[in-house]
Amino acid sequence: MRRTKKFLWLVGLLCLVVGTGVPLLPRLGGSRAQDEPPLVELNEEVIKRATVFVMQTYQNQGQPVISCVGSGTLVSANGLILTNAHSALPSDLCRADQLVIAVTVKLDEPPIPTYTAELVEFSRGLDLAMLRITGYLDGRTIDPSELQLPFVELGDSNNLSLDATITIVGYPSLGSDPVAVTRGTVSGFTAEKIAGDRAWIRTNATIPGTMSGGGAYDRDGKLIGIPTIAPATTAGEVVDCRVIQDTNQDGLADRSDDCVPVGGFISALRPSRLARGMVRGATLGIRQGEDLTETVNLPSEGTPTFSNLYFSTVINEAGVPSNVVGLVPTGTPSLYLLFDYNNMVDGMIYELRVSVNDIYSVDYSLPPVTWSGGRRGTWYIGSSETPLRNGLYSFRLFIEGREVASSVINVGGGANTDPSFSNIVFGLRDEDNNLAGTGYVLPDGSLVEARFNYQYMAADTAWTYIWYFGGQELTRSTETWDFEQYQSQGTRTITATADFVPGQYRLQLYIGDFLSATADFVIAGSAVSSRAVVFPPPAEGEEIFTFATDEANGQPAGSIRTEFPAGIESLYIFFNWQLIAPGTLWTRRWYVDDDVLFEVTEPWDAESSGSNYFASLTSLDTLPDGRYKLEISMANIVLASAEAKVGLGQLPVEAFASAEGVQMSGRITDAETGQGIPGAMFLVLKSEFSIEDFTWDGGQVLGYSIADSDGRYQIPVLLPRGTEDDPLLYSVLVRAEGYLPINADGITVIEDTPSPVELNVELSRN
Amino acid sequence: MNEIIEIGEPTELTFTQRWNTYLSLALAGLILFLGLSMRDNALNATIEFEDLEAGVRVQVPTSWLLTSGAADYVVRAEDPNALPFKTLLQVSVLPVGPDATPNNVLDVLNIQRSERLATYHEISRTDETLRDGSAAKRLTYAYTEFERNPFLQSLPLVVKGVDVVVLRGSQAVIITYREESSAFDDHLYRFENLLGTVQIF
Amino acid sequence: MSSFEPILLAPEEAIEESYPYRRVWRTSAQEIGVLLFTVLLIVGVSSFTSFLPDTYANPRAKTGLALLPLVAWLFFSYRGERQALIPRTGLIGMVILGGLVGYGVAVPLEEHVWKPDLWLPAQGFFGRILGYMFTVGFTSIFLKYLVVRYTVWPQRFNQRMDGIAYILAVAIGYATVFNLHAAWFSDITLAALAMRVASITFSQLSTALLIGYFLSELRISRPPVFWMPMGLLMASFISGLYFAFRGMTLVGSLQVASTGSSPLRSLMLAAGLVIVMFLVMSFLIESADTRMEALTGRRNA
Repeated sequence: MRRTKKFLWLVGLLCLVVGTGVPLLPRLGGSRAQDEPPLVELNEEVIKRATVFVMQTYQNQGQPVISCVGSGTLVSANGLILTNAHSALPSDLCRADQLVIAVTVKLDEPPIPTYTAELVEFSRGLDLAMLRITGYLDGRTIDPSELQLPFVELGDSNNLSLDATITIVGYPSLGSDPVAVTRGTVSGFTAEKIAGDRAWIRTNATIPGTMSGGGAYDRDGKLIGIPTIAPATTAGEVVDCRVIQDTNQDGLADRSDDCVPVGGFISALRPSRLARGMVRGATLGIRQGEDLTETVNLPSEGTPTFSNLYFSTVINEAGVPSNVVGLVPTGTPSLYLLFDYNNMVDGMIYELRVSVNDIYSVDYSLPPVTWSGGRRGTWYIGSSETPLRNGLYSFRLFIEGREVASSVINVGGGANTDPSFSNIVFGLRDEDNNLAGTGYVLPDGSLVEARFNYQYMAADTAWTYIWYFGGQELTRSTETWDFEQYQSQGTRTITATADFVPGQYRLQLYIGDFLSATADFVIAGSAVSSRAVVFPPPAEGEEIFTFATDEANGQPAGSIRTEFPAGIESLYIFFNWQLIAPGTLWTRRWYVDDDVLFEVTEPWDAESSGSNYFASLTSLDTLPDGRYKLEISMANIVLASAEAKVGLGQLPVEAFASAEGVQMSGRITDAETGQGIPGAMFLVLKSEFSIEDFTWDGGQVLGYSIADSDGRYQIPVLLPRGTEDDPLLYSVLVRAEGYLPINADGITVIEDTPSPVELNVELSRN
Repeated sequence: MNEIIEIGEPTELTFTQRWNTYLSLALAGLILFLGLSMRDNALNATIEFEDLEAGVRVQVPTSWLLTSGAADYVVRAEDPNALPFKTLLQVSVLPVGPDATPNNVLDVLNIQRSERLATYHEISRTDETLRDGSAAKRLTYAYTEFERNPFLQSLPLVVKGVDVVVLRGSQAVIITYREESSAFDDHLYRFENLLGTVQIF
Repeated sequence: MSSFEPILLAPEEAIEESYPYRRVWRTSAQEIGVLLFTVLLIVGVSSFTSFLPDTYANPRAKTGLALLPLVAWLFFSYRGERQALIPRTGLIGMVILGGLVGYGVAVPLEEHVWKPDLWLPAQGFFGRILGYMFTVGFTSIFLKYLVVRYTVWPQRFNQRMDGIAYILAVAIGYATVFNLHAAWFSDITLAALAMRVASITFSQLSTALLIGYFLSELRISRPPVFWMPMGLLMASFISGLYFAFRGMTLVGSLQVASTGSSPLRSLMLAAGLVIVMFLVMSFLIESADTRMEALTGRRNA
């Protein structure tokens, strides 16, 4: 009996001790096995949730009709979406009066239309657009600051290497399937004049056309590209257009109804660096304001054409081909197709189809994409960084599905030893025969010289040079090579004497009947101290540019200075100009704190000379503090720049939220019923506060979530990571009426803490 | 151990037994009082919030999540425990013109809210006199509260709210209470308590 | 008891047979054992097998489970009482009265006056001890005291164990009401209900024991005038202590990527409490009996 009692005492006390023991808290960090790194180390759930489905809709007889669809990616918590312009801009194909945004609520279900959005900024040429969520579908407006949506950060697409693993996320159908993830590798890069050698990232991943506008991510989960394809057309008709609604309301959804155009499979990604300025501007709430001349995308005046196709293996920094080739040796890493274009309109769909030995090559072709070069000029497309395979390359160019030009080139064999010219540069001599300007932008004058390299020249080789002005031949001459004077290789200079008025010029060098080198140059401005001054100061010794907060009758108004107090709403810049031929392509580039905000290349459409041309930046609220710079260039040559300071002259630290961190979500359930507790609050404190410090001051809270009807919660902000040596410790509180509260300190988040972290909580009634 | 002694029926209680009974009953009364006091103190405990810039001093419930300094309110207190809607008490300040009346302020609020809040509608508008004697307007309204996080799903809740607007110079002070409609009356006392402690200076 | 009595030679069974009352400790231990075994079985089966899903919440099964302590009491204590030479009378009435005050007073008081769910969970550890002690803890103690005090006390208190027997009967009735309340008025799963039933029953039995002992002493000994109030306070303090510790055991279920809680710990707490309280009370009563026997030559007054 006594032994039994002793035993019972032991059991009873043991039960009490164990029963009253203090629970241990989990450490989030390091809970993942540290063996091999995963193939793709990214927060797939966050990325999937940040991927939205964009629909353009219009009202037809009181019924909403979906006209175009695409994918998009949230790039800020307050609802900024990066997508393709062709998915977001109304057009003949995409009739639209509203942009509807559908989001992935459950990862294994199709997106649910939730928000409406407005267009913030776009580039038809780059086929990129920024949207901002503005309201709910029922018409209620949204205060963007209240939105706490998952978003992704832009990565550095320049650092992407060949064969790098990328993950593409988007919607694979017309909204009837859940968000999809496709993995592939970088198979190459495609050059295009508007963006240089890496204008496109090529991938071998299989990406459906509706994923256009979505996102491509590197291993760190950073957005490095935007899958882009415009709906393919044949003879102006969309190849793949799907009827999903009875738009004419005849009771049948058939061919007579409007359809939703869909692109083919995507193999090209627009690098995210091209969207960086647009995203930056939208995040800061800055827009391009009014300019002296309104940028208008006029419709085509005639039949769009591509002509004068030729190839080059090198494009110099000014975007000028260094050589012209008819045969490319084995192993050449780059090949560019150059051509002149006319009557084009930004946003038109063009395509390059390349076949190698009559077999279509995805790698060298450019799928249907939007045009971005303006009305007329010289354009190039090419492949770089990938050695060319031997074979006969056939290049066919299409505009809106119609083949407009083609050319072939042979790749193979050893180094070419045929006579050739290359590397043309220009200079302008003044009346004293001094160089008054060099490069590809020259001041006006009467004597232009062109210097070029030559090699493998033989005696008495017939060669020709032709000078053009605005597409019209100015002068030409055919000569035989003076071998005694110039030998087989070296540098030679030729001159042209004429009244070189402002405008676009071109020199072509032929050897026999074959074009061997060509280059364009611009005459603009006057010669001052051996250079072309296109934008002169108003008076001697004065600054070229005048900054002001307003404009009145074409004159600077408001506050005129270079350092402005914080809180200004707009920033205008005024400048004078001289001798710019209308139609000359010029580029203005706005920077904030040395990062590009906006870049616009367009033909000059003001008078040849004048004063107080103005451009401006404006803001939704006030311009954030920072250094604002405008840079003006022609033919890739920076001609002038100026900078103004607003407020502290530096962007606020918190201007750009980080998308990096650990997402915390989970479910709050009743321990006794297993059911979710709707309305339960899950609260995460900032890492500098512990439960003991917490005074229920909202400023101490990193984020909180209210559980939904199933008890699910999702902390809307990401938990910043610490390091192994300096981990960040978070405290959480869970509250629900009638339940014992949970307070937990010491939730550790370090570099390798997996994300999202699922923290499920059971609450108990006492 | 085995020896059992039977006792007879007791006749009457001893002095000790009687007083044990009396004292037990007295203790019960005391404990009842202590329990009620403790409950009331826990349920109605407040802390003082003061915003010198806005000129508002108010007592808000303790252990409610307190946020201040936002653009559209001076202080907002939310009951973290409340289910399913977080009971809300709020004091905000709105600049008004010299000719504005409390009715004008309520009109502005109505317009703003009807853009933001689903199925927002006014229920009643009455005159009110605050404890310090100042005249005020009381607006009662309702709307449906929905889950703002698109990745969580909840059925909308019908929320009932009250605003009391009092003008102070070029500013209108708006004291707000919002609660899920079925619990509105139960927790209205919190709003009345708040209203009783608001000091505008 | 004479000195030459052959105690060592006497068979144990013969001694037991000569005891005319029901052995309260033994029957209560059997009830606790049955309840504990059933709860562990349900929890084990639902946790580790697919035979009984952990979401199982059949109302009939839950009602049966809620009634299990009462059934066990009827089977062991009441049947044992009926089989005893001198059965205690009025035990069924005590159970019914316990249930009635629980249903008619304690539940409404808890739901409409004390409202512990609204404020007690948010209190700190010591706040919870005092809060539960002054509200639901004292209510349950005092109601059980009132039932016994104004019915069978002091008439049917012939020995100390009578107090234990009667108060346990009241506690079983009282606990059954709360068990049924938990089973009927929530979506609680069978496994969770098993834990709750054990928790409610064990805690009610544990604290009731103390009242039973104090009432017995008040009847049999000559305690001071503050004896009973002290007993009520002690019992309600233990009740508060239990609720506070139980709260601590229940909030330990914060887990990464799982919903694993440790309900066994709260069960162990309740079981530990009831075992320790039974041992303490049996020790106290035995000591008191021994003391009295030394002083008066008899075990009870």
